[in-house]
Amino acid sequence: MLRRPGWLPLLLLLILIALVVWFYLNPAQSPQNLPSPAPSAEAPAPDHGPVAASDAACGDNLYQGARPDLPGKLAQGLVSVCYQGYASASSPISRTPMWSAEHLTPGRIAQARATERASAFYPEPSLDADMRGELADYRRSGLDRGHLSPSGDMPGHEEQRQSFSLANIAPQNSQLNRGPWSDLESHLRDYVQSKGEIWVVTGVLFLGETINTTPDGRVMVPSSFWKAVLVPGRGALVFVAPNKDGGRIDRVSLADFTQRTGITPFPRLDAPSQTQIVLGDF
Amino acid sequence: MESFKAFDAAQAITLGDLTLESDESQLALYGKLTLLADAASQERLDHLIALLTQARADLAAAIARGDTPDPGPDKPLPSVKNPFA
Repeated sequence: MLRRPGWLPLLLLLILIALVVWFYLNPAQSPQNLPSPAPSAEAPAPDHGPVAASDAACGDNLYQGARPDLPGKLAQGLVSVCYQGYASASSPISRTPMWSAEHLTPGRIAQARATERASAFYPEPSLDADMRGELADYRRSGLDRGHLSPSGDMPGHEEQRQSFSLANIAPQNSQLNRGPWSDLESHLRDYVQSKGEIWVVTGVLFLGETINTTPDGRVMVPSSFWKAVLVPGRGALVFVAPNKDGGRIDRVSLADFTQRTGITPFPRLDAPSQTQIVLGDF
Repeated sequence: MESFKAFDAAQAITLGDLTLESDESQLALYGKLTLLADAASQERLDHLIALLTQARADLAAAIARGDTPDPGPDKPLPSVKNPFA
């Protein structure tokens, strides 16, 4: 019978310890540890990217955390984009946002009005290039890059810059954008500062048998813009304007708007408030 | 002071409810600006004057270059069958 040397267990123990230490210092690479691919030249990694597009991340911009309900065709393929200052949903068909939502408070508006900010428009980096609008699409279109959630509502430099993403922009008639629509946005800021918080959803409509596009045919030009305003405890109202010269802004109840368009801007609003109009406030 | 260059890349600057918005072909001023008799308003007015002075220089440069495109299309916008109808 062979005699086992007395030092063998000690040697095996040392080898085991060495292996444990080696594995500890050289873990297998998990997908999270793999190096990130270099950003492409077409879409450089922005320092102003959106937060994760979950309902929670859209946070306070959505009334009771609910996204607007859109009927089937308008909702087709929508991609959520959530920023600090607004939450929006982009259509790969029109290459515009369908809606953009924000929560306006007196503090936010006071801060926005006190801050002077310059920003440049940019294509939304979180969307595929095929399904988003590009700056070149608007060139020589005669149309403004119309904000859905206005830059004037944005309380700081970062939010302002985010509002210039084309995920918040649709082709808008310049007379409407610079005239009555701008006045409406300003009026709502006045209202918030004097009366208190509101929730706002601004969106676009595509009505009629045909739709205009930008000169390169990539981005569809909305036939109308709408802005739904919810005043907590008082009711709501929707402003609707045709996207053309001299277009006037009509006011309708949420119920009428939903009946005509199939769009429910504030799905978690109770039924009585859907029909309650706050015309006197505006 | 925020930088703003008129007749260049599409950009905008906001002072209160007044917006200066520009791209390669045009500069638009719209909205409203209320100034009170206080130091903050004086500073804002100084900023606006500086922006407009710079815009005048940008405009002169654009005219000198002679390559500023028209803002509008040279033919009616194309149209497509409404995919949402």
